[in-house]
Amino acid sequence: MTNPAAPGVAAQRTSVRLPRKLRKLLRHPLFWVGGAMLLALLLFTFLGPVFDPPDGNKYDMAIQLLPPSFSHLLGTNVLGQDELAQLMVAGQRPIISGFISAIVAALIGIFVGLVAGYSGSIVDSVLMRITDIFLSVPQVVPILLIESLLGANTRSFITVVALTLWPATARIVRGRTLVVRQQPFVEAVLASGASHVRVLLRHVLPNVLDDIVVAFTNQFANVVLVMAITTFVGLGLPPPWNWASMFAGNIDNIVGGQWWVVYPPGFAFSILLVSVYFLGEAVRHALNPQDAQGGQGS
Amino acid sequence: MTRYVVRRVLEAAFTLFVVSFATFLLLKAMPYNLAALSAGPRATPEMVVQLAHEMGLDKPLPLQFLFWLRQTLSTGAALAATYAPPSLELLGLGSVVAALCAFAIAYVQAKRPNSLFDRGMSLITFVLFTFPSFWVGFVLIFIFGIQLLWLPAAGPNLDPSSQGFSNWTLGMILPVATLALTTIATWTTYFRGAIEEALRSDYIRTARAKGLPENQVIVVHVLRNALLPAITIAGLSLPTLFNNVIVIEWIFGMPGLGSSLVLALTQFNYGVAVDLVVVIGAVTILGSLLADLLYAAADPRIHFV
Repeated sequence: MTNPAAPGVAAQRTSVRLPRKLRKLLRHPLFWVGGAMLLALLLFTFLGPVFDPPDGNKYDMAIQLLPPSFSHLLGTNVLGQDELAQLMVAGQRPIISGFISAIVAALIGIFVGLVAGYSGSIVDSVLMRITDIFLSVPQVVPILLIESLLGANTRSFITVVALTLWPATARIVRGRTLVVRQQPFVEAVLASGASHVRVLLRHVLPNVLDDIVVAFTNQFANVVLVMAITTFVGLGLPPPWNWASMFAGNIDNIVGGQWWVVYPPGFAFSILLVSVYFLGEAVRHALNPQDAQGGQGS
Repeated sequence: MTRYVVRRVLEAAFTLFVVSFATFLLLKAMPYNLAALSAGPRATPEMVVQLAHEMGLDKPLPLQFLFWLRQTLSTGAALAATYAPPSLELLGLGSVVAALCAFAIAYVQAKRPNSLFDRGMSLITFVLFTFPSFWVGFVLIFIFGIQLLWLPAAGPNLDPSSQGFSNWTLGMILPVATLALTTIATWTTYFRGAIEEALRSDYIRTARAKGLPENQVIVVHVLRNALLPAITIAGLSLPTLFNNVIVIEWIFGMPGLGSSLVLALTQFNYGVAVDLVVVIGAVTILGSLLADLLYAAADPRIHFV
């Protein structure tokens, strides 16, 4: 009911395309599936502990390794701790640190990719040489080494993972920037007197946005997997509980057939990764101009 | 060809040099006394000074690096001789199995897009893509090693001759399957793109138009042309594969570069750990080099400049 004209003018440039893309996104089934899964997982980990009475730290040797029942919906572990209560709290740090690390890594990657692809020549070669070196070594190895040297610390872990995993994003963004940069409209904008920074932010960046979304979902999956791997072998996120350490700490119990202490954290990881991947696929379909015509992918 | 090979070899050598220099700098940047760390918690101060001298830590930084590099290369070579073969067996078998499966799936998907097989496989690879390798490994161990008791739950140990070839093969099945399953998803997507592109190309139409039998069209033209991007992808994903090799060795209790690295790091045995870091770097860099050279040898269109 506010003034409809004023924002309309300001949003003129984008409003022609954005609603159509938004509608396309909302029509995509994977958007709803992925969104629902992620929302459920977030509610489970962050709101669940508020409503669930059992304390995940309380142990009772008398009830160790109970199978799932009504009093302990996911059973208990070897210390007699409630598996469900632990699973909720244990999800908070992997999710938060995964998102922070992925966002930082994506920002570094986008920056390096834009600068390398836009400036070309020497700057490009040097930056790409650096990303090549990063990409030529298994990413887990430097993270394991640094984490072992620094000791367990959530903040340093998030930083180290972000600083190790940005090159993949940089590669993707750089590749697309190279293509966009050579298009006539960039030359036209430059000729009309725009600065390089303006061209980069206002004209190149919006055109590589769909690649950035894809790069981010890949980055997120990669970050969560690498964090899970390093934590699983004992050198990542420090205690208290998180999904990977729950998995690692309980894995010996499978010999006795107590699957309920290991399956839940494993499935939690899968749900987190699948939901973000689905969301990314939906956004990619919505942003990809080539899918606008006929490409009816499911 | 020679110039291209020389250039790629020099590039790989430079990368390896940078990786080892970065490892060295990383160690120096840490707020620890390297000699004290290597000597262990119960060493006397005299022993630490003695060790620091033996490690060349009392010399200027560039000399220290050379000293460190020389030592790392000799001890690293010994470590590699013992622990690289099992890791490479796992890596090699896993990627071959993954490549064959991914190629087969991608081929059927490309031939029959939007079929039931295509959609089902897309969903399965979707889900596999997002499974951590230790989770896949665990599920396999639980089903085949513990519930069904069909296969050994642990991988083969260091010396294949001591356990016989059949035991070694049985032990390798689950680790190789884990590595393959975690890799198939990504590779199928790439291979499918390559095969679809080959199927669409003009030379396929020409081959069909001149009356070649369909089998020959597929094998000689489609698959051979799709093989080239496949080699590139395999080379590029080598470091990612090795990430999974580390976990798989750890979860299956197999000796190898990865499990030794984790063991050394969790026990704060940095002498061994750093050697292993450099060896793993060398293995992946050499692997990528090999993939590039193979590509160059297989593709007649590459001009060697």
